[in-house]
Amino acid sequence: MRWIVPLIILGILSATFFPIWIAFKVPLSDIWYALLMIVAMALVFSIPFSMAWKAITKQMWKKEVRYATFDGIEGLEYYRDKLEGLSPVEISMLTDLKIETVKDVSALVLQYELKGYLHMEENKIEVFKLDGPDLLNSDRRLLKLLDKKGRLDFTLLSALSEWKQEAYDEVANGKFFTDKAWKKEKKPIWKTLLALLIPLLALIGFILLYNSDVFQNNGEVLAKYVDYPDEYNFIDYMKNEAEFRNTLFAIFALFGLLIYLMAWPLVSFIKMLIGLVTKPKIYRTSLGEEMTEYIYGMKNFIHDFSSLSEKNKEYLSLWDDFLVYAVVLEENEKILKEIFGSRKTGKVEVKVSQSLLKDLLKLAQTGRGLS
Amino acid sequence: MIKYVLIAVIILLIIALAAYIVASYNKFTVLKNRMEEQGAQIDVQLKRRVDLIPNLIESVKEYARYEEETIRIIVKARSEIICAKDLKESWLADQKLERPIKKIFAIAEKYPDLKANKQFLNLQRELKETEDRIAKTRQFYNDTILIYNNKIQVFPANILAGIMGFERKDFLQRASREDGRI
Repeated sequence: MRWIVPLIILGILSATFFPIWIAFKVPLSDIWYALLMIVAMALVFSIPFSMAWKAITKQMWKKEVRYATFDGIEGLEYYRDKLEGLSPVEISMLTDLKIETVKDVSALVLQYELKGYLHMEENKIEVFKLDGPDLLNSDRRLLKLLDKKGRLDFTLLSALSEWKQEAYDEVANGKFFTDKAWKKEKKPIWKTLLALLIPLLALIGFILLYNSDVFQNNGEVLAKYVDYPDEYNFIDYMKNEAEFRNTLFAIFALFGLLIYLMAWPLVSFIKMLIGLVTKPKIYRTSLGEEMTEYIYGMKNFIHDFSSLSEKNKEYLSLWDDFLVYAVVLEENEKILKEIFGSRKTGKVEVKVSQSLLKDLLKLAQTGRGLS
Repeated sequence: MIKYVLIAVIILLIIALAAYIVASYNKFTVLKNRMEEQGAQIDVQLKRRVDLIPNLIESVKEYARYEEETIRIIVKARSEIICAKDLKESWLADQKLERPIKKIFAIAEKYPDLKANKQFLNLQRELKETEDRIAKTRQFYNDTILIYNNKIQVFPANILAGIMGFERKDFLQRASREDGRI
């Protein structure tokens, strides 16, 4: 329903512009005439834009969830049960085919705390166990790192790169993903032809109408008025010449119709441009597709039926897994700041390459300059 | 000329106001429906627990000879839930079940036979699961109430909500011992 917002905005904009235009240019006989014009113009101009907006946002959303087809389960809007057997990393990868370190590590830290592997107080982490039957190698690596560092902040992001690769590989090689596209969407050719044909016909029709005598005769008057506005009493002309008045409105209506008809190919073009961005490295299996729908059902449920976006880490014991889902599904950003700390430490990590280090050592030993 | 501009401005204001009223009404209705729907989810879970009770009583009948009062409370609360007219009534009746059911489970601790009984163990597990689900569903229900109440109580939406008949809802709270509802 997000398309309704631009529809209203454009409707209001059209309704703002056209009454003023009408008030200045058109001899209004009564208020109903004005009202009719406003509604007609608002509709003509807002519908194609809103359709285009709807299609673009939908495409962007599909892009956001990366190539999910969402045609496995019909009408699954909400999913309310826990996503048993899915780790935060799997949820994250199924959502958008990638790992987002800050979000996913935050969700994992919450889950480790729920399972009793660690406890987090403010920004300090105390790890109780480094191994367990339900842990993957990437989990062990992360726990080890957390144990070593005792905290999490943004300066540790580079240290998490190995964990990220390992976690990605584990999930990508699992049952939810494959390296081959299992389903390829084939767009019917008639849709493409129709999308091209309709605006083309509309354009031809518009040109023919524009070149017709009625349009030409009245168009000349309009052109003269535009060129010499002081010499022509436009309002008087509008008042007396019904044909001209109707022609002028017909031009506007046809222009609106043309925009309406052009909207679809325009949208198709934008969709094509968005779709041209790199192909994914991995694809969801049919099971992965199904799970993705459940995950989005959960995201919708959390979004519509809870205020988990406002909850902080203290609520973990109350909301348990649902708070983890809220974090990994980007429904709660508060906790990310809590876990990773909103303040920067101010320390600057200087990375020195091995070769540079060797050169520096050589320089220190020999006293010669670097070659 | 000014006359037409004024007409246009007034029409614009009327359109904007009408859009706000329609959008507000729709929002209130959506939130109210979500709240009621989530309430219905609690009802489903309460009914699920009610359906498990006859089997529970059957499996502990032999062992709970001296717990007739406890069983009587459970049976009474169960029938109250079944006959409840609304969520609030069934919720209050359900609260009466909590302690007697715990008492029944405590009986099992005394009898190794019962403790090892597969049917009893399954029931115990299912009841525990249902209890957890009820708790979680109630949390979500209370959150939908919070969202709804926030929406209808802030200015200027509260004026419209009042006119349109959208009223503040109470949270579903656990009955405390102090108020004598258990």
